[in-house]
This record gives sequence, structure tokens and C-alpha cells, in this order.
Amino acid sequence: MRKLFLITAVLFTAFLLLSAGGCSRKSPAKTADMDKIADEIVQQVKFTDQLSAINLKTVTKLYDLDSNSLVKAKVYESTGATAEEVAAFEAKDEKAAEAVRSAASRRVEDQKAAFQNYQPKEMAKLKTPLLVQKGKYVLLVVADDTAPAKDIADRFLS
Amino acid sequence: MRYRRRRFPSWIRRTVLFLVCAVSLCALAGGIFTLAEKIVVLETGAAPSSTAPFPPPVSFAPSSTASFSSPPVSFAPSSGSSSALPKEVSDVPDFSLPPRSAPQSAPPSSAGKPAKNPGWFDDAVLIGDSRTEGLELFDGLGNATYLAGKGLTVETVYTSPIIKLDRQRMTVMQALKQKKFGKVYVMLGINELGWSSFSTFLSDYGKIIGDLKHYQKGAPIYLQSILPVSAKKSASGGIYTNEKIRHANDAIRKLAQQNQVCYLAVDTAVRDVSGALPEEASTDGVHLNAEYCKKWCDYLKAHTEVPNRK
Repeated sequence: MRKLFLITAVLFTAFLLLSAGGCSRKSPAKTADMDKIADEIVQQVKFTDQLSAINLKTVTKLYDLDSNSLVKAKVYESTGATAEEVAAFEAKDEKAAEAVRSAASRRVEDQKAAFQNYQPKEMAKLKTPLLVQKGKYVLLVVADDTAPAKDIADRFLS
Repeated sequence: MRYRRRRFPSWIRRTVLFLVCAVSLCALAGGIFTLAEKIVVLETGAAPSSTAPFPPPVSFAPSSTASFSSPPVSFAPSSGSSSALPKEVSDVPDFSLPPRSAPQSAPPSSAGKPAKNPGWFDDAVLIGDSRTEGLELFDGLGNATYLAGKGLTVETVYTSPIIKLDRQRMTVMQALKQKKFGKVYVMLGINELGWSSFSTFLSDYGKIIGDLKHYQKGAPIYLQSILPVSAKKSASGGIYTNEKIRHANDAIRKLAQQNQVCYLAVDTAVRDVSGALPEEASTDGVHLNAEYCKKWCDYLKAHTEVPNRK
């Protein structure tokens, strides 16, 4: 009888050891589709300019990014009449995402410098961009009202 | 006094023992399954979702300038010297193709009219204002380099450090001194429409052509016509009228003729029958959307020849 309890105790201990890590994450890693986020923002947020998607090569040039640090990027640019922009990135990892976030900050600063004497009214948008990073995901939105974009980002990324 | 253990009936003991063993086995199986799941996640590289709180929106303080240029391609053109070009190459130029070496892959997003010379723009530089910036965003010109910035004029080509090259800021002309290109495309003039002296515009433009010939020796130079604005914009009473643009384009064509460089009437690619930019081409009547940038791009790709010496 005592042996039986000993065996039971060993089995319980083994179970606890094996399941300790697993219990902390019950579901597989959640992923976000940045294409969908960017598309939905372009559809739902009010923009004054016409936004069009640009290719990945142009994205990496524009943001001065290494394409190897990106898994996916969907960027919509305005015609140049405004500073409006939607840029959604999935970086390789969280560290790469930090670099993408910095690049997005630089992009906003560059746009401010370019627009301040050219179209000063665009400065209001550039002073209050939506720039968020969650894990390996980075999102930049330049628009008059970024609140709807924030809601979409929260829904997809939270 | 010796404690006497109380014994339960054997059927109860067996039942309890059975239940304990069953639960233990189930628990062990669950643990192994969880471990296996973790191993699979690691092997497939599926990244865990971050549990970090969602950061708040960030606002920024203003700082410096920008524009972008891609890494240069530094080979000299296989043929074509600016001094050898015919005096005027206009809408329907009488080009014949000189032999060219090693055509490269076609631009990725070039649809419509096929490029005559795939890879032609890989060693080309395009100089211009915000409209040229737009072309950079929506182009299909392969690896072309852009030295463009908002509000660029024939004067600020020399004075505004709007170009970021190798993480350094410089003027367009400084960038042109540093890098050698195979072809040079220029579109300037719309921001100068309000200048009080048109002759100053022309003399400054002429100086640019001279410096381009000096710093980009041997590279064919293409002066592009100024693109029209929409009829609505033209009629709005500002400085941007299509009449002024036509006048300026006539002068630019003559300037090209005098300096023996090419003139490309790119305006013909985007204008409507009245000579204006169609309303659907732009939100502000000036800057082209992606569809019309593609038309502009297609025009450039269809006019890639270097004129033969005659």
C-alpha cells in the first residue's frame, strides 16, 4: 500500500513538472494580420487625400528599413497633397519592431520638416500621429482623427 | 498504549486506489501533451503574443528635413553624350536605339506599355519637386534614384539640404556631385510659376543644365515638361494656371534645344483634351494619384532611347 502511494506521489510530481510551463499559455501564439489592419483603417478612417498602397521596396526606401527585419508591411501613401499615411508592419521579432518604430518616428519627423513650409496645415496631423507598437507589430497612422484607427488597432492587436 | 490503525473495508480501499491511479495517469498524459505542444511551437517558430500593455499614441516634436534617395548605381552610360544630342527631342522623337549592354530585370510594378529597355532606369536619377516624390512612391522604374523634395525650385536645388544620402543631409546639387548616374531626368518649374522674373527661372535652369553636364559627364539629360494642373485648380485664380504652364513648357523646350539636351513632353501622358489634368487624377488638382503616376511612368519607359548622333 505504501509503495502504491509513493508511485502516485511520483506521478503527481512528474505531472506538475511537465505541465508547469504549459499551463501559463493555454492557447497558441496569437498573430495579427497587418494587411487587414491597414486595409480596414484606410476604409474606415476619414482621409482627405487619396491613399494608395506602395510596394515593399519603396517602403524600405521610404522608412530606411532593412527588408530582412520585416515579415510583412502594408503602407498606404497619399498623393503628396497631404501628409496622410497608414503604415502597418510585422517585424521579425520584438527587437526588430523597436527599430521599425524608431524608423516610423523618423519618418514623421521628416514629414514635419517637409511640410512645415509647404503645407503648414498638415502639421496638425503630423503633431498627433497614431504610432503604436505591440510586440512585433508596429502601426503608424497620420490623419485628422486617428481615434477610429486606434479602435481598430486595439481590436486587432489586443 | 499502542495506536491501532483503523482499516477500511477492502472494496473502499481498492476503489480509492483505482481512482487515484486513474487521475494520476490522466494528469500525466495531460502534462506530456502540454510539453509536446510547446516543443511543436518552438520548432515551427510560431512567436508568442506579447503580453505587454498597449502603448499609448505618441506625439512628436518637430525636427529636421527629409527626402530619400536609393543607393546609386555607378556605371557610365554605354552611349550618349549630352553634347552630341540633337537640338530638340520632343513628343514624337526620331529615336533609334544604340546598342546597350546587359539589360536587367524589368521594374516590378510596371504594367501597361512594356518597357523598351528593362533596367534602363537602374542608373537613372530623377530630380524634381513633390510631384516627382509622388512618382517615387508609385513608380515602376526599377531602381531609379530620386533627388526630390517638396517645393524644390531651380534655386533650392543649390540651397536646400533636402536630400538624405548615406545618413547625411545635402542639397540636390551636392548629391549630384557625389554620385555618378547614367541618365538624368529633371522636372522643375511649377513652384516657380509665381516668380516675378521668368528670365531668372530660365537662367537658373540653364545653370543647372550646365552643372549637370559637368558633374554627370556623358549622361543624357532629359528635361521633362511641367505637368498640367486640373481645370478647377487652373481657374481658381492662383499662380498655378495651365496657361502659365504651357508658356513655361515652351520656354523649357527651347532651353533644352539651346543646351542640346532632350525634352520630354510628359504632360501629354496625363492631360485631357483641354490640356488640363483630369479631375480624377488628383485630390488637389496638382499632385497625381497612383494611377496617373503610372501614366507618367509609362511615358518615361516608352521614351528611353538615347538619340543617335547625326
